[in-house]
Amino acid sequence: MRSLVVFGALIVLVWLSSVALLYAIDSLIVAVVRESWARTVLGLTVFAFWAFGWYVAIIALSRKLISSWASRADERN
Amino acid sequence: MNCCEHLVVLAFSAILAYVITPRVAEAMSALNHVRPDVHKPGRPLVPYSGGIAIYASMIPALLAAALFDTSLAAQFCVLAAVASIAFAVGLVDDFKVLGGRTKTLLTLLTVLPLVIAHITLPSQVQLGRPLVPLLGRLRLTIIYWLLLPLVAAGPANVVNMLDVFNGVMPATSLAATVALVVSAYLIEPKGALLLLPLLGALAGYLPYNKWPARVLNGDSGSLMVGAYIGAVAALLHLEFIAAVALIPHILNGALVIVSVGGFKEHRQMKERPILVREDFKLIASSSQTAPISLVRLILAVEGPLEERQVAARLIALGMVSSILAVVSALLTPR
Repeated sequence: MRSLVVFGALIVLVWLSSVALLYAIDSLIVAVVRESWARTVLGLTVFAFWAFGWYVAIIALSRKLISSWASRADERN
Repeated sequence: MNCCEHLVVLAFSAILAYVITPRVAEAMSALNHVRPDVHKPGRPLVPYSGGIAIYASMIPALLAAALFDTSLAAQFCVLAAVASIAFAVGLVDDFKVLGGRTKTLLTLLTVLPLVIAHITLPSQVQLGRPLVPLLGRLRLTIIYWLLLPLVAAGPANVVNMLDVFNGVMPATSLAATVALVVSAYLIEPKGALLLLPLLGALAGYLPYNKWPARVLNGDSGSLMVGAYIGAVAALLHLEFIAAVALIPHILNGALVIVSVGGFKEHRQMKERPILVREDFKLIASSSQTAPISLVRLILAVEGPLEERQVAARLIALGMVSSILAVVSALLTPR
């Protein structure tokens, strides 16, 4: 059941951050910058930073979980 | 909204799937179209391409639904076309293995019915301006169209990538579909009818695919179900809600793509993310170079588990994200 807690919490965090991201894009970019390619690029850049942040966090978490599992498996052997 | 009509469509597709699936399994066995169920003792051969049963029960239910509500006929046609394209790509892959990249590129064709219908019938098929929590309709005037090719192909491929154990694909897709149906009833009740053929088909099919599976889905099932979910989400402006319901699938897909460096078929991978012990319990690979998947991480956290225990955890995660999808719908201004 530990995995449910870990990944359930991760899913909730991804959801909360995605709602916050949309709110930030709408209130800081869409409401302020006129409709244009510049606004599109700005919005995509913010989204790319959000996605990159999650990419780094999830890859770091994955490596930590796998190395911890590998060391436990080594101890058992 | 007529509840009786909705119940009839739901029951019709569920009964069809329940009746058709064993026949499809028998036919696949007769054709020797079987695959080893690799996580079970003796690796029993199980009939493959169960997606045929889902497709064969969903399309008549779509027609019945279109007869009940002719104002949604254009949407039903679009969904039938999207499902047919994804099903065809999956079926070809089931019988003649396509490369990972080829399959992904072919699933991009599922956007065509949506675009064609939007251009030719703009008053009936409206795309864009997705609904999101707190804000309502987003004003995505350019980004939406740039990302549109992924609207059905994205869900199709991520659902396919999490189709790894008995029952996981239909159960997690069922949870996502229930979340979308509830969201549609909350936001646009009439549109819920579009989801009921899929909901019924998955409910009728699941008993045959749950552990121990009597039929395997094949890509014909997983690609079609994912593409259908994506296409309905686009038609009902529920893209964000569908993405939330599919977070475990998206997370798994992103992990696999990043760790193997692109779209690769599982047959092309040199190392496996998980290993099967002699007692048929699954363990995470401890290799630093093996692909990373959600299942590997679950096993890394919990240690060795049986196949059905892993499947239960994936389904539970699907339920968590489906609940969040419904919460998103509740938070969406109407």
